[in-house]
Amino acid sequence: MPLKAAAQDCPDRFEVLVERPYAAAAGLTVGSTVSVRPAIEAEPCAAVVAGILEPPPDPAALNATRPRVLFHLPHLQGLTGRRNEVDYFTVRTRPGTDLATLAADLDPLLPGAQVLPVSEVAERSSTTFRVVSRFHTAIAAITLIAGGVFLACIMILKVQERRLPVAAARLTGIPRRLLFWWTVAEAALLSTLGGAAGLGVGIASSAVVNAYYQRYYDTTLVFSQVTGGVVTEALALAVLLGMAAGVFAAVRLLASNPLDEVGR
Amino acid sequence: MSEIVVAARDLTRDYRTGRARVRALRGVSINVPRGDFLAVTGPSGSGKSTLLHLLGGVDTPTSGEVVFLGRNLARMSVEERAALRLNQVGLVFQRFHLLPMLTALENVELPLAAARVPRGRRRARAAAVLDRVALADRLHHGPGELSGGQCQRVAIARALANEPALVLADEPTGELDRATSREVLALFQSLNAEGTTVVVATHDLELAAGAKRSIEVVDGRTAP
Repeated sequence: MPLKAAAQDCPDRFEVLVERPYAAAAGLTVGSTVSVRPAIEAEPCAAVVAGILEPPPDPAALNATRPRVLFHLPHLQGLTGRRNEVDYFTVRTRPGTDLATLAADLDPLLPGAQVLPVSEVAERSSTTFRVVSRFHTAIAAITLIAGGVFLACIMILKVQERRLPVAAARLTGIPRRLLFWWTVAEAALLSTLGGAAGLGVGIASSAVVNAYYQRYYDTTLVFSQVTGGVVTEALALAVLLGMAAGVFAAVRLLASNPLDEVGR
Repeated sequence: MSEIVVAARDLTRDYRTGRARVRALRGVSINVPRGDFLAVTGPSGSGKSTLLHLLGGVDTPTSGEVVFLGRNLARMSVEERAALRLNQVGLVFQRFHLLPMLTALENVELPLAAARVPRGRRRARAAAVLDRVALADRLHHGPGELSGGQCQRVAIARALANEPALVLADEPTGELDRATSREVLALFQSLNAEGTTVVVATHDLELAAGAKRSIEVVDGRTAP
């Protein structure tokens, strides 16, 4: 929306906050004086940099090319000549404040204003990230299926090597049940160890990714997180996949007649 | 008269190979008394291994019956026969068939574990049996680290783990050189002298000569 250059008033004690990356790039420090104008043709106002602001870790702002400068609301209104006009503002409430009551209280002052909790604002503004997240889930599912098939193949190769001794063990009276659960337990153990190693690689990669991109984008945003939930989920999936692969391999191993394997 | 460990009466065993039916055994009857050391000889395909499998309850006859320590195997379920093999029969194979990922000690422990012998006792028992076959210094070696003769001795120790009433060995020297075969024969003789009943199917005339008695199986029949 174009700003009205003619209506401009320079505020008294005009102070602004400047985001750190921009301040660093422009060589600004606290106390520096900057010229601010609402439009290119407007007369500039002198403002003092009252503080350097660390930009919030917002993924939506990662590729923002324009610096953000924060004003006091009255100063901004005076500068732009636009009174009582605001898209949104944030109110920190006391714990337990009822938002419906707050909305009702604000309604006479701000007719038609919507009161939303921050979580809902975040939810509404993160649709893109939810799509990306679903995409990641799909990649993870495909990876897990491929990993499960790979594990099943490894187990089949392993049990293939043991067909004869296992057949001999069955002939000596070792119960099928014991050999079955042994194979399943071995696959589950193998898979869990693989899962744990994978988690180790994941945690290390996550640290590398964060270090690289935080430096690249000059942000404190955490790009990759291996949470307790992820660890639990990964290990549980590893055990389940291992058991499934083990059952598959064990059924194949124990399906044949041991006498046919050893020779009559 | 000694107790009969296993008695076979008029055993026949037919196999199907495709559409053809092959009769591997044709009415074989034998008694194996306790303390016996019997060698079953005969050419390849004569039915020696089949006879051993039937005596041990590994396979079931087409007709005839096997009575093991007074119990007719035909009247036992698959699980009961597996339990009988686990506790009363020690099987030794030509190619040892040791589990490659287990050590010698663990291979011998396996039938004891299946018989639910507590860990401490089975470890001690497995070590004692391996000591008996002169492998006390190879307890923690895997099959890949042992010679053929040593593997066969581990297999014999595995067969002896549950103190079976009968040891059945199918061509136990078939994969071994002459000197090692003699060691295995000496081991069987020594075990037999201690009271273990042994039945060996073999081509090896020296092994057969070392047994207390032998029978020959030809074309599925015991030779007169």
